[in-house]
Amino acid sequence: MMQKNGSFQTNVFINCPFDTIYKPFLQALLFTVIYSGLEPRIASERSDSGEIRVDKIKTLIKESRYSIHDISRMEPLGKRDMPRFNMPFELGLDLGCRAFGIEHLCQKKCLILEKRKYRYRKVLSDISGNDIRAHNNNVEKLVRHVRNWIYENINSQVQAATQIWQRYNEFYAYFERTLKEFGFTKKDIEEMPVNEFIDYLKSWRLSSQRF
Amino acid sequence: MAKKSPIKTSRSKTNIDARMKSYKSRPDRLHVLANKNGWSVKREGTSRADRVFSRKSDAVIRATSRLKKGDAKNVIIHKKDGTIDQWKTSSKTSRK
Repeated sequence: MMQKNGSFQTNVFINCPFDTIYKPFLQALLFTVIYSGLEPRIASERSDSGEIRVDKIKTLIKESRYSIHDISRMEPLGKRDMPRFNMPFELGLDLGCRAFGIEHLCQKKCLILEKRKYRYRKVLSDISGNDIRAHNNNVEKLVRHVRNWIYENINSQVQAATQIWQRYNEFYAYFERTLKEFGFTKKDIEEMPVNEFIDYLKSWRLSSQRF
Repeated sequence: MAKKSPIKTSRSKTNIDARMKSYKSRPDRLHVLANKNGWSVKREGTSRADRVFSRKSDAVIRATSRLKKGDAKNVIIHKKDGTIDQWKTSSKTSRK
């Protein structure tokens, strides 16, 4: 497994759902972050049943200067389900760390993504004053928002959003074809752990150094 | 110095990593992909789309006709989320 822990200055804590429906969004998000030379930190990067999840999340938040929160799925998955509060809870932890943290923690910056503009105000009006960007359930638009936020806050040399999106499509084709040649089924690819996907993505990135 | 793990990485993982690292863009591949203004047909490795269509079906027709003309060896049709919908290979070439 590749080295996971980058430095505080390049770590980006990713707070989003891990379900199958959201997976294409997560994969494109991870691609954009890695393509831009940053290190994604995600709760599922290691899985140890003996570790308390919220402790792991607190550590990730403390170790990451940047964070991306996608609260577009804070809703019930089915009609009889309850809404999901993990994403807004972790967003709160991150904003709290920035507000009350000492020294370098005050430098923290975050991007909050939503499905539709102003939808969150019905249930999370405390963040009404924040700049929240809506991706309208469109993966290309999510890539565009993340890239623009990286440009504004981290790296002004980042490539154009269209180029990143095109490279992502090319990467994905090569990734899927390669895995199938090595005997992976569609299900194996769909249910692949996030950290394994990140490993292959980093290997692909090393291939060219054209970033 | 970090201790070396006693557990060996699986051979297939190592091989896949090696394959991913050896990626080179293939200009003989055309991609049909979603963009801000519709659907574009784009040669792999280039940054400009050859043409943009408002409908995906029109982009697929265009790319497929170029495949038949021998202008490309593969056409990769993407879904709106960037994953793969269909992979077409020219009948003159074997799948690689």
